[in-house]
Amino acid sequence: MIVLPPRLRVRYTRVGRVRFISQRDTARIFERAMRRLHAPVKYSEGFSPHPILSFSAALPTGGASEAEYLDVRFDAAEVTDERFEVGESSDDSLRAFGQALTEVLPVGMVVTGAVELDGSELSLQEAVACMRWEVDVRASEPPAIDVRIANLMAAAEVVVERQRKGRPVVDNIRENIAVMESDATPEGARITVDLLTHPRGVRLSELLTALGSDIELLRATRTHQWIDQHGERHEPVAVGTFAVVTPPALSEMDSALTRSSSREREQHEQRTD
Amino acid sequence: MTSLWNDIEPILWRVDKPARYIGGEVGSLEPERHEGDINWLVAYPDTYEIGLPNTGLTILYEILNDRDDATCERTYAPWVDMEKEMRTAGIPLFSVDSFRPANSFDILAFNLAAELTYTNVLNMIDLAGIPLYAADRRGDDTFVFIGGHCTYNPEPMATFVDAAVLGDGEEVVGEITEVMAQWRAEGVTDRHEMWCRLAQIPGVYVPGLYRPTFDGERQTGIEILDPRAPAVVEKRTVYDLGQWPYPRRGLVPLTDVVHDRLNVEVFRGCTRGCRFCQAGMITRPVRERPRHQVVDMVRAGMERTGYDEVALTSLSTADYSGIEELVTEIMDPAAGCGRVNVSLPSLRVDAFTVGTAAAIQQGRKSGLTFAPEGGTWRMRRVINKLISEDDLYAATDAAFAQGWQRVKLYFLIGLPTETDEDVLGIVELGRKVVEVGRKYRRSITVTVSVGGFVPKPQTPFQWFGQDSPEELQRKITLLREASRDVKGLSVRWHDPSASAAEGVSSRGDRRMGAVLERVWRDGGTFQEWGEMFRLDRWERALEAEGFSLASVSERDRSRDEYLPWTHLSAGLHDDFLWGEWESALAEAGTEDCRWTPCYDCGACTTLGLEHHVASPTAPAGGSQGTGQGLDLRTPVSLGVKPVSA
Repeated sequence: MIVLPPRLRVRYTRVGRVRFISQRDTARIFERAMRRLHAPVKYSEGFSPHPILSFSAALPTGGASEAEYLDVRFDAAEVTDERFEVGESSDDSLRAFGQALTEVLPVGMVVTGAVELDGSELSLQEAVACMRWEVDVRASEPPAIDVRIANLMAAAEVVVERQRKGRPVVDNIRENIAVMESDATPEGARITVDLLTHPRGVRLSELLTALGSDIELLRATRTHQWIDQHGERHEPVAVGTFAVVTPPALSEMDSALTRSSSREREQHEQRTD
Repeated sequence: MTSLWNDIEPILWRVDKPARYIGGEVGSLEPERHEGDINWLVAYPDTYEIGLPNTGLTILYEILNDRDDATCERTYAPWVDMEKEMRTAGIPLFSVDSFRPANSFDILAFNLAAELTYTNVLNMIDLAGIPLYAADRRGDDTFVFIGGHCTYNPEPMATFVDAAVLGDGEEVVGEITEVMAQWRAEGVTDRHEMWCRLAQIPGVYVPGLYRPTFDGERQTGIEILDPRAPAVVEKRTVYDLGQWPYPRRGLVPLTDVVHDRLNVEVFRGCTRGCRFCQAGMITRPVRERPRHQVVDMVRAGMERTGYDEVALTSLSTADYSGIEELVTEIMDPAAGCGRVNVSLPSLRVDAFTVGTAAAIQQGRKSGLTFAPEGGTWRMRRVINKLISEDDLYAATDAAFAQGWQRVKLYFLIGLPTETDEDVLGIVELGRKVVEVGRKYRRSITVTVSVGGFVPKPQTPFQWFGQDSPEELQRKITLLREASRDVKGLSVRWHDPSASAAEGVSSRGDRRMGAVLERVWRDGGTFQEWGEMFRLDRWERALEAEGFSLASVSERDRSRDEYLPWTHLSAGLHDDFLWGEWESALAEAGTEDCRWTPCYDCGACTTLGLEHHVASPTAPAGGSQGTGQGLDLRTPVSLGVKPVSA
């Protein structure tokens, strides 16, 4: 018996050949995996109900990741398999769920952690403030990659051209680049870069274009995504962590009660829509 | 042979939709090879997203991998950008299962479902590094096979293939495997000997053992070059689908494909007898899958795949005996099929069918499609698609009444005996369907979709010269002008020049192989894709080989002309086909033999079979095949009809 909480944040990988699928493909794969598992995922209301799954910032097609995240909601009304229940979960249940989900995901997609949410959290898209990429590149012309990085980090402005609402615009992405370093490799260089996601994210392809049009991308892996909390960065779910919400201390009970009653109200409203 | 993955991986960053090339689907395998195995590579000669859902290849993939003496992997046509990267990097055509090179397989077997994919077959053989002409292949070179509906005239592909397989593949792939394993065990490497042994297998046609003779634009006969080759090759037919509950491990792709849902085949064959329809002629007789097995396959399939939709597939699913009971059973929670949407991809034109469709439709009712095919009752009698106007109005009335807002109607133009009145009848029908819909809602739309008719081998229209692209264009212009002022009606059409090129492969003889090769060498791959198709490539290639569209596609054949597929049989008597042609000219209908006495088309008698249906009664609703209205000029009525029986 696996007892699932109403809200769960899942950490997973997308490595190996499966990294060549798109973010839309990834979402569809999770929908089907949940159905194969008979997981009691909550469905949206409306003409064509779909399972409520929300993902962190899209991973580009071809990009690998060791730190992808997914928020999923479960609903006792959707239980069709006696293996599952929705209610007061446990660390063991979450670990068992992670294993079961991995079994129905393609090779290269592995659940590496899961934590219960209490409903007060920001969405992943809002919460993630910074991500780290490791990128293997090769440049066909001088200067060397480390020189280019030094120049770029010393610059006041790094401009990229984008389309916004169908019009070309020019943005400065320098403020997005927190840290960027490189190490020489037999093929060229491995760049490690921490990119800030607010107010507007930066695409990996934009960053590479800023480093020079002769840059050839060989491999790219997103190794971390971080949430900003009181000025410190935390992983939304650390690898190997399978944890339910810790029961609040007595002094925090009031606010927790308020939260849960507002959650019930919200659920009630959705049911009666 | 080892995997090419390490060479493939770096180029995938640079190509569009790289997930086309990575395999890894639910249900896919990376078979291990053992000494003595016959290794098959099955191929669909179009993009991954078109080819992956192909049920035929999925079934063979499974049946072969279930055998102890065979392995089977898959490949698809790499898109133009990927082909360029592969050729630059020196990467040959590869399997998406183990990434082994195509020429490390014993057999490369293509499914030919559309004539315009032929140039892709040539390209894929070339990309595989296999000699393009069958005659140039030696000993251990990979054998190239073709199967599928197009093999009822394989002659345009004859020089490129070692063998063509006619009919259902379930049994014959095992026989081919055994024959090949035997000669491997004996150490046979003489290609001619191998061909002769293949030719002994019923349903296998080895073109290299036959030499056609020609006189000008006509073929005059065929010489048999070895006494071991049969005079006539008969198709293979799996009689009892109940013994073949495949696919059991259907593939669920990681990325977007067409028909991305569980597909369960409910029957093969169709005896409606539409005279233009090749599928309805070459797949006779009707063979239904037992209802309990369909339900089992849906239940197991939904469970295994995680799909939320199942399509019950066939040439005309509403004709399945007890279709209502079947659908009701699937949707009953007690059946254990889960939260499932059932779709019926081919609707019959009658209110009864629409009632069934409405009952199973969940969520938004967007569009519904019907195929009257002919614009006037006269035209529909010529083609034996005996839908009365009342049927059509009742069906569309039911659709609009049930809340559908868009209706699409499929028609053919360029049919035998067609007049401008028949063409304009298409707009007239469309206009009246708009009127039917406006009773319910102002905002309804009706789309008329028009394709140019291409006559197909082994059909009653195989003698008929197709319209030139100019004539089809003239008819399209007629339609556009006539529909201009009809609010709510839009007309869409298929490129008439693509129909012309399709005709070259459809009824062409062996000499069209050189034409295909020229088109391919001129860059003409992916000819099914509008952005890749240009008719001038085909016209230049035809001219260079001494032919023209007029001499190949547009030429009428007389009854005494030796047709290039005369030595290949789908079981149909020549007398039956010619009789149907004469009935077409006489505007006389032929009933559906499921529910009326046998008229001996040949399919059952040649094969020693009969229809395999669960119910001897004709389906409720619909005139076709039930004996109604064959000589009736149906008065137009726009009255409201009950929605379902």
